[in-house]
Amino acid sequence: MLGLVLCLQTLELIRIWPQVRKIWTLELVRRQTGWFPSDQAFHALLWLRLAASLGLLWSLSPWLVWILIGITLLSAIRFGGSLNGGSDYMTLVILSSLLLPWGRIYLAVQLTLSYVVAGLVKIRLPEWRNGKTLTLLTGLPAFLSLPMLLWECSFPLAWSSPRLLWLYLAVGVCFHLCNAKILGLNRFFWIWLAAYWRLITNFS
Amino acid sequence: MAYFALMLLPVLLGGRWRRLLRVLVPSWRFFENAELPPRLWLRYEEWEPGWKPLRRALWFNPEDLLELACRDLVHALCADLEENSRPIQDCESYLMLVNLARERGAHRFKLCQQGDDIFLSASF
Repeated sequence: MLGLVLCLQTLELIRIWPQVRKIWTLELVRRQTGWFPSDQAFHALLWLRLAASLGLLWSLSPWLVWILIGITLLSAIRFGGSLNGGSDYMTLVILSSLLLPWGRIYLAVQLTLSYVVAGLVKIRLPEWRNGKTLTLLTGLPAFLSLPMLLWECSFPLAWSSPRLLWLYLAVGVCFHLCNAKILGLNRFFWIWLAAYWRLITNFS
Repeated sequence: MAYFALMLLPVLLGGRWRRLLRVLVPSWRFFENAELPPRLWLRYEEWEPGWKPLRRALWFNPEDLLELACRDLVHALCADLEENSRPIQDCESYLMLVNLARERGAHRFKLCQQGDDIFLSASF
């Protein structure tokens, strides 16, 4: 699953590369970093990322994982620190979890934090609690806001039983699907699904 | 363990590396502001909205990936304006927005929030 998601991510980046190099120009990136691979070399690295993503379908070799981490990091630097925000974070969390002996626990902790922290920063604001901001940002009805925040904040409960975990993850799939269809965050949908996949294949 | 050593880099290097390497340290603080972010306007004959509509496709969606990355440039410029440590025309976020505006055939850009202009670029 992760290999396929990384393939999708890389193909998207390869597709927008001609525009990217005109906006996030090499000169401006090198001004910030001092050194960065040339455009031709970076383009070649994107193809290497695609090959490494395909390789992940057959083997979870640490070498492949390190190649993917390195090129993901370089891509983020090219975009001033992050290409697609949270989906970059989750990509690196899943990849790094493959390198650790207790990687699934690390992934479970980060997945839980991704909901709890996001929920807590929003629930303290009255505009989020009464749904005004949800409607403003997404056009969804205001009454959905509080249940969504409660689902996010209570996510640690999901780990209390396999049945509850399936319930929380099912809501999570709907949540990320809405984000993809309303906010254009398709990469979040796929990478969070990859995180779910890696966890449930062990937990259940 | 080597990966966790890597995670210390943004802290150890500091400065602009803290921003450039921020993906190494996950931050899950999404949508912590209750208001709409500033919007980009581009100057052609008239001012026109700078954002393209999102396709919202679930599978292969490079158009939205590019569009959202462009929208993040506005956040980067706002952060640089707030930091105010060097002339804004020297900031990479400003120069990248100039590149974006040029790429879309415009010769000037501005940022608006809740109907007010909060930043107006030079003509280029």
